[in-house]
Amino acid sequence: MKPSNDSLTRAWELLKADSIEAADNPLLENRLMNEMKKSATPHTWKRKLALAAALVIGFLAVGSGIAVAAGYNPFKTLTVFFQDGKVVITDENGNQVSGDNVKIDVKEEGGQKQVTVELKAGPGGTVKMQSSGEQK
Amino acid sequence: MEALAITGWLVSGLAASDSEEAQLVTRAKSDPEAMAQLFRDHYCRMVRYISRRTGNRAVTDDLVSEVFLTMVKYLPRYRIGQTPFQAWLYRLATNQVNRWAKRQRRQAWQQLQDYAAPSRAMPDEDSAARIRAALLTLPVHYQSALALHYLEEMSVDAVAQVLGCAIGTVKSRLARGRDLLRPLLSEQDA
Repeated sequence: MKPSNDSLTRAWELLKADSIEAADNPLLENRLMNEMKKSATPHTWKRKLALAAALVIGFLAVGSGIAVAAGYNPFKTLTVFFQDGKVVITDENGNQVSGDNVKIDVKEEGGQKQVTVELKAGPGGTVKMQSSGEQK
Repeated sequence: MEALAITGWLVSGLAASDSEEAQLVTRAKSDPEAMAQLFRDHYCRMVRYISRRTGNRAVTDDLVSEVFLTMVKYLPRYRIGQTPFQAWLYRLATNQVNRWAKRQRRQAWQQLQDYAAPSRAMPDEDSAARIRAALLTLPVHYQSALALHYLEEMSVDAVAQVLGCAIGTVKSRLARGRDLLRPLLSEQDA
């Protein structure tokens, strides 16, 4: 025979009656207030710092993404060398780099030539390279 | 029985969604005085709920402290409007008690066997203890559904809000929980 719901009903009534009644707890209240005051300050500056770091990282990531998408390769390697007494610059594919974007300045000091190559690299960027040595 | 159980909590549930409490909760995120007020408003209810499940003063005090410390910690992340504040607080309390109850299951079985042995009439206090031991032997998700519905007199909807599950899940947990508990209680009565 299946037991009736009476045993359950009585059980709930007994448990409901057997509870602790407490009006307040000033000690715990004070502890909570202290915890809140303690945790408020560091959380604020930690959060601000984390937000600033996230913004910088995000800005850099998005900026590099846009630059790469626009065809700018920040790691392009150029080769500078002398050929027939002139400075020649070639890119990774061996093509000669020239034009308005490239400015070459050669200075001679004490038997050594100092070459300064300044070129506009990609959108809004200028790269300046300096190299010196004896001409062979 | 279920229909009767709905009323008590529904009234307080409506009060919980009151804009006054929403304002208090918003202020409590940054104002310690408002947080203290929130604590005073809910302290009594939490003590009652946890003590009904644990039956032990010291354990209740510890768990209540943990509940309110967790409240202070996570209150800035609580979003008004998603879950009523009272349901959210009951969820914190239920999680704390469930954690404790999981550790008590083996001991509760032993306790239940000890209670079954003597054939003497028990005073209500002992009866409550053995009913609690029987309840503690159930898996915690049944315990919490039964306790919230029958002891805290919450509606099935409100229990679902507290436990963060579907109404159908709560109903099946209640039915299964009752089925598991009944034989344990009738064994004791026999």
